[in-house]
Amino acid sequence: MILNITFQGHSADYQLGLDHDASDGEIRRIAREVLRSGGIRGMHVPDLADDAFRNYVVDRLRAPGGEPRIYLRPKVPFGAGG
Amino acid sequence: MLREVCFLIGKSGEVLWADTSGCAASLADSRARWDAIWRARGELVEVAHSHPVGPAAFSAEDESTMAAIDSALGRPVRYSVVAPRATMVRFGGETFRLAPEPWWAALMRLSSGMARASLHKLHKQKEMRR
Repeated sequence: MILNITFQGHSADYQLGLDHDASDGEIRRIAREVLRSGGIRGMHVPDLADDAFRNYVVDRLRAPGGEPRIYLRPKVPFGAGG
Repeated sequence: MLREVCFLIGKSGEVLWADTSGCAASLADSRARWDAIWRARGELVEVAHSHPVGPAAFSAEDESTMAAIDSALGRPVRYSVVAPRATMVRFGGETFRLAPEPWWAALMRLSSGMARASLHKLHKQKEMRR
């Protein structure tokens, strides 16, 4: 399954070695470690903060071919009631 | 009907994209809104939304969303909130009241269901631009 991460002006895919439904927390933890380790070209952030993805959400979609894709993206709600 | 509205504003002050909610006090998270922000990132200068019943201030939800968008885009974006009597802006760590307001503030009030006076103000601004 593919994990797409958008961070600091870059958006890239990472091949996830998962065969189960990871929780949102697991996805955030995996993404954090991928960026820290430089697992995606152009997105190496060794000192990435633990809470870097605190305000991100996880979308679980399917590509046109049917393969599952996970997107880690910023949340975008607004509101006076927040 | 009062409802919150979101505009994405481009370099020339044009509205690049807009969406709305069915609620006067919130705009729910939206993958479509994020996709629009990402697609427009090269020309996007401002993300504006309305608070049709006030306050003329950024909420806690707004603050965390602005931080998330800036983190994803890798640059600070200008943000604004259009309330019935004022438009507040956040840019470069500063928050200030915007005067005069941009042309689209009246359009946002109108589409948010705020006072009918917004329509008259919009017509007046259009006349002045001619």
